[in-house]
Amino acid sequence: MNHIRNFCIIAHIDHGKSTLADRLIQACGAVSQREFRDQVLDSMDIERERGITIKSNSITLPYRAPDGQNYQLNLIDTPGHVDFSHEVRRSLLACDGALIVVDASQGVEAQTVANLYLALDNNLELLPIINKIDLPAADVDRVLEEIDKDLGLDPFAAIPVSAKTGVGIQDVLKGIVEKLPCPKGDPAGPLKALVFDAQFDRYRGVILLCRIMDGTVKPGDPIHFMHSGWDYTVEEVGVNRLKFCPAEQLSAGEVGYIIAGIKSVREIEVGDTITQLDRPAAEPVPGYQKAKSVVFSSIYPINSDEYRELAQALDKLAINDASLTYERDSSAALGFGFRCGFLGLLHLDVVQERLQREFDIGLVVSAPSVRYKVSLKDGDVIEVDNPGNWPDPIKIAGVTEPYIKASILTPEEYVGSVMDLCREYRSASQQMNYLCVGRVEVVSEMPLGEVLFDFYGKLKTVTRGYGSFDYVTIDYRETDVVKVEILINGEPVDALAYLVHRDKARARALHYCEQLAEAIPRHQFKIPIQGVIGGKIIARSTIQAYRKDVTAKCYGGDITRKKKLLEKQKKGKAKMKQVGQVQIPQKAFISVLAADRK
Amino acid sequence: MHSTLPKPIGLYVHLPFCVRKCAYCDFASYAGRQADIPRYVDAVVQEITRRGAETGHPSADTIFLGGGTPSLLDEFQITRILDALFDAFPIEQNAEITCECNPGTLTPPFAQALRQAGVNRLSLGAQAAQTRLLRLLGRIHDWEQVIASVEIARQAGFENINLDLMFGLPSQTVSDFRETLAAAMALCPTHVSCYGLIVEEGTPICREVTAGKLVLPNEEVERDMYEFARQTFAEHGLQQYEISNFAREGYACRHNIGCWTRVRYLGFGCAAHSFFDQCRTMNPPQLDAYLAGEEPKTEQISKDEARFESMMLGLRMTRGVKDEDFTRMHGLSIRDAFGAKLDKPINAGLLEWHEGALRLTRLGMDLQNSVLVDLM
Ligand SMILES: Nc1nc2c(ncn2[C@@H]2O[C@H](COP(=O)(O)OP(=O)(O)O)[C@@H](O)[C@H]2O)c(=O)[nH]1
Ligand code: SF4
Repeated sequence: MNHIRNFCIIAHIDHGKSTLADRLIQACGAVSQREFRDQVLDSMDIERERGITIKSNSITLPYRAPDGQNYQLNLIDTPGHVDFSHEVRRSLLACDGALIVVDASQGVEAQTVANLYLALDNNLELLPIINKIDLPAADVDRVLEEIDKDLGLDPFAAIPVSAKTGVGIQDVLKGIVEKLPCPKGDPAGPLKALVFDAQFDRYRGVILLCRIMDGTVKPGDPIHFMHSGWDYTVEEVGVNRLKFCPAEQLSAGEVGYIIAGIKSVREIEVGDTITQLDRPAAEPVPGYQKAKSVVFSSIYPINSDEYRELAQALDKLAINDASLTYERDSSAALGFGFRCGFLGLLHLDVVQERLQREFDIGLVVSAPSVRYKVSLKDGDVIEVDNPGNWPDPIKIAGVTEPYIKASILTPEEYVGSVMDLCREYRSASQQMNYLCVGRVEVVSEMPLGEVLFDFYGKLKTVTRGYGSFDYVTIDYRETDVVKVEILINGEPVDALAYLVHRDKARARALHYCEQLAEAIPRHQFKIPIQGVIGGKIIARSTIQAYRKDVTAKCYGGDITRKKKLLEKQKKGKAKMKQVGQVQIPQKAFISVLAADRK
Repeated sequence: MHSTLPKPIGLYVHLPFCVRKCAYCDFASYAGRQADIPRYVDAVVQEITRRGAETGHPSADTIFLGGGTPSLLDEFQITRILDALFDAFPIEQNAEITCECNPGTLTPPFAQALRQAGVNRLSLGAQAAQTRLLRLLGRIHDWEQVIASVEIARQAGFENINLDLMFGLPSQTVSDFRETLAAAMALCPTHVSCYGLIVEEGTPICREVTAGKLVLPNEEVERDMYEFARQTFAEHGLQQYEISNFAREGYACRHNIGCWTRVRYLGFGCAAHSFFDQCRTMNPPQLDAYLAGEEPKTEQISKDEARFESMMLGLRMTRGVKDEDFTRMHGLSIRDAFGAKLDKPINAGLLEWHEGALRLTRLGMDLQNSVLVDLM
């Protein structure tokens, strides 16, 4: 156990976490040059493209120290986005130490600090790394000062490196062995293994990534999940060297994988503790938390015939993404679909994109919503995330909505616009911290429900792309939420309803009405489009009746051509959704909801 | 059981030559191919003779020489074609025989030759009174030539004269159109065909409109023009009998009415259509394919299609579709054929029953396609 180190890398986005990981993997010769590709730990296309890590991963690196000793270094990769901070916490539980990477030209950033606290909460030993020292703009002295002041870490322990050129990589490896602690645990005790991730393999089923805290585990062992209560028999254990390499056993302090005939990640929960069925541990690894969806949205196939395909695609995605929740939903306007829960907006985007890209399904996604807590006059408190379930306003005593603490980093010159933007998004408070010359952190508490509506996009605009944004959910606060219904020709269209703060209701209703009036073709009659709160009209627009749908000339004797034109017209009509007397093209739904989030 | 003699058929000859291709034109017509006219006339005459024999020389009571620009043929060529028709088909005594002509191409000798060969109706592509609009459409004439052509026709003894007019043209204003109507009425035609411009895909005008270089009047203005035309014609004794056609009492175009009431017709020449023996046939649409003797395409019309056709064509006429005629043709009444599909357009005020016929209301006339889609 003295020769094992379990660690992760903590960094603000773009400070070089992936590059450093790649370098360490290469330096240890864990992967042949031929197998190597950049960002080896990011396995999904979307991860590579967007340069973000969505799922945790781990890799075991064999390291021969200068003194001739052989070490097993387990690098645990954690997701780098706020939506997945829950997964970050789980991964940290598996580590004993962490490298804190700071970009020598950027300095300490918000996310670095946030994750540092997480790491400290988990009693991890920290080793600061100053990356990108090759850059002309690198200011190592300034960063050393920040490490001291902002992070409260020992600046003399910091290791300057360039993950790009490889300078200092050997120092990092030496630092890991010398400065980070070895795992503790009792190999002879009852098995206690923390599941920090689960991957799905088409041939082998679920592969659990585990940190063994106590005891040992080997093929044939009957195991028990302490939270979910399921029992399985171990088929194979081993370590991940980018390929899964079987081993005889895994014992206390090690990080590796367990395969136990599990068919879907649904059956297990990441964060659960595995113990031996016949010799159970007294208690599970502490810190277990269920992943919580914070954003909800309904997804419908554009083409109603594709409902089954959508169901299958979600099932497939969920096999590998335990945090995606979904249940059947149906809309009078859009037919069958699913109400889905996401960890955040990025998660929603990723799921939506994967459905379209990997499964080729055209989707309509309803306006995302947060989960409100509604106290009813009869004393009950219910949670509502779907406008369709919003109670009758006269029964509501009060509503609370989730708030976040957002940390926005921006060049100083945009601070004013950022503050204005925050206020526009109903920020409760803004506070400024001057990080270093020219860079300001704006900390703002605001409703998550507001941030859903393209806060990030607008932030990028007002800061010309330089602003960054990170958040943690904090609490629920009083709010005044109303349900806005959209009526087309007097008929409410369920898929267009949304929950919104009363002050914002009118502006958004107007936007909806205008977009719909543009996207719905003229009919034989005038079509009013209304935004309504509890029967009161707050916005409206009108689609004029068309006055002409006639072919002036009957093309000589060419009857066939005319018939074909009519057939085409008929087919076009069949493709639209009928709501009452009105034919609504699918693009109307998309334009409203898409423009809404842009 | 009463047997009815088959109605005399209609005959159509397509003459696909034009001086220049108009900007909105997607008919089978060719500019710069006049050199092929002699070959083409030979081929058409041959086709007429052959088809006459194949179909057993049915008698005909309408002939329509359309185009293209039939007036680009010379006197001998047009006479040869008419003679061939008279030889191959017994032509009724009072037959309606029309020839389309374009202003600027009609000469007195040609008009006289037409008269002598039996033509008794001339149709002139007048379109608009403003040279600006005519240029934009790519037409070769101006209004002076329209006046001249009418004069030539009258001199040659034509009394039944149709003018084609267009509205809904790019940049056309309501007052432009008023002017056109006034100029047309001053020529006292017996018949007017008044068409809203259809911007067909692939035409030069379509490209310009798409590119935003030409701007069409909006739907409201276009319909106002149509309504204004209807009123003007009515004031001048031209009764509307079809969506786009207006005529003095007794001058409605019998050839077209035949087409709309599913009377049989035979067409000759490239892109010509025929309706015979419950089949719709189309000759090769390309001039070269036709000259090369390519086979026509034939489509058998099913019973359902036939019923729908009766509506699609018959509802174009103001008198609508007589239930009696429909029943005679299809063996069941309109209600039995369309059932509940009639409810929606009737309730929406687009269709109505009137004196034993189903017809479009005034509103329905603007929305004929939607009515038909409901009936499909
Ligand atoms: N010049 C320089 N660029 C680096 C260095 N390390 C990483 N980068 C670049 O910084 C960017 C972000 O690196 P990446 O590893 O993807 O950051 P991550 O988002 O923290 O995983 C990439 O363009 C890297 O090529 C370094 O040491 N020097
Ligand atoms: S004259 Fe008629 S057929 Fe000839 S190009 Fe013009 S529109 Fe087409």
